[in-house]
Amino acid sequence: MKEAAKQAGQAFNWQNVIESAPVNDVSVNGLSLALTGMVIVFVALTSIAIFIACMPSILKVVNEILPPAGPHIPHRKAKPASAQPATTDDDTQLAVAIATAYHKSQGGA
Amino acid sequence: MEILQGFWETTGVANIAGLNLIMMLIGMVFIGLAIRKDYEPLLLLPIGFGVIVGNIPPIEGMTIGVYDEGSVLSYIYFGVKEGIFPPLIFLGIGAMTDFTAMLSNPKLILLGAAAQLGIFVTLLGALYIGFAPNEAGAIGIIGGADGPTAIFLSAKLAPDLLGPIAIAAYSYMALVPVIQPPVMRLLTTRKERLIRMAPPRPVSQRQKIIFPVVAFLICALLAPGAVTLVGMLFLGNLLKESGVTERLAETARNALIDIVTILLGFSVGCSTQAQTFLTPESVQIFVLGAASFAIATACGLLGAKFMNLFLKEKINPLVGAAGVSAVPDSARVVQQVGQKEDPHNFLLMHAMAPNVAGVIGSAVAAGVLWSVLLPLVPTP
Repeated sequence: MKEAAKQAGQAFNWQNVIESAPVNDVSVNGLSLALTGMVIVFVALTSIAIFIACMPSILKVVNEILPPAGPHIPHRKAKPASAQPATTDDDTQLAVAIATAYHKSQGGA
Repeated sequence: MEILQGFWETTGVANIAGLNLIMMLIGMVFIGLAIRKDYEPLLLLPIGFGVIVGNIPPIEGMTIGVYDEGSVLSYIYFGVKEGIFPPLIFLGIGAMTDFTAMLSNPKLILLGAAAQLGIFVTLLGALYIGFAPNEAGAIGIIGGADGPTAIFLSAKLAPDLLGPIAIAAYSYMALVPVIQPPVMRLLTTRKERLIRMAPPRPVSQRQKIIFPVVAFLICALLAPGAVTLVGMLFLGNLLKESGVTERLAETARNALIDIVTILLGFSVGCSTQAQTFLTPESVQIFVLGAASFAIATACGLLGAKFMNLFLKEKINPLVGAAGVSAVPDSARVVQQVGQKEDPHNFLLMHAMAPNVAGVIGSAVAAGVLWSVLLPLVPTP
């Protein structure tokens, strides 16, 4: 496309800015495009800036409806006292029994 | 003997052209700049090596090159060609960006907007030179100083110019400390450079969580072409700020962005072949790129000076230069230039506000250009 424009003697020509050579039967006005683009960028970022400036007021209302949550602590269920694993008691009792038998075998009281 | 003769004719040594050798030398220069001078090493090193790989002469009948359908390199390049990699990089950028500075002083966002004028002035310059509108749009986005955005838009509007545009964008991002200070000193007085700004106000966590959602809606509804880039940017930021997806944020800003950077840089380098890179158009692109950075810096500075006409609490105009979205290099340059005048003037956090606003602004500009110029991409 650029080669075609150059060959047509249109390189370094302000006419290209005002009205580009048509591509797919469409031409573009560069100045309008630049202006429109800048307006959209400014509107978008200005809207964001306005929203951020208004956020403290918005949050005052939101905080009344949805108070900020406390620190996130994972919920853990407390274990019931009766639900102690039996194996631990069995092992302990077994160990005591072995120790007692050994002690007696060594002539202890 | 005939077998040896036949084998010799298939080797790269027999088929290499002088231009390919020049490109390989350029690739080695990029690698040298990355290692010795620390010029954007995360991109320039893979790009430089990719340039060397991409300029090995193709062998007839073997699908090896990046443009050979079915080759490994073509599958990697698919992520660039179809615009997949840049949004993934934006996801990582969002996960590592702190918008606190912007949230605490929202008027500085307008400086990020002002700097994007560099994109559109460069577009006009490219049209004047004789580039087609779709090519001019892809060249103009260099002024946004945003590598992923430049690659994304070039892949959509002017794939043939992707190589020179990507290399121009990343080269000038590395040269921000060289390009910006003279413009900053030229357009500001000493009295203006000494302006001290009030400390930023505190920002709640709730604000940081709500911001990415609402900002995305504003940008996407105004410029739907920006949905991909802006959506991934703010998704990454929400992953970071929500506090409940730290694993995902950690992955996005470390492993994911590193993987995509390697693949993107390497495949962009491979696509930069002598026939498409060593052309007068590439030189023009490089000249326009340098101009775009200078114009963007100037527009940000002048935007700050214009705002000061209406403000009681003045903005240090140097902060406007940080609207060029080379994060965080241009903010760092503002800090350095400000401290040369007053070593106790800390402008870095203030400069981060227009710096990150510039990322949003350049993505919105890319969305606008993509939606307007897509019908002008020549049909094959």
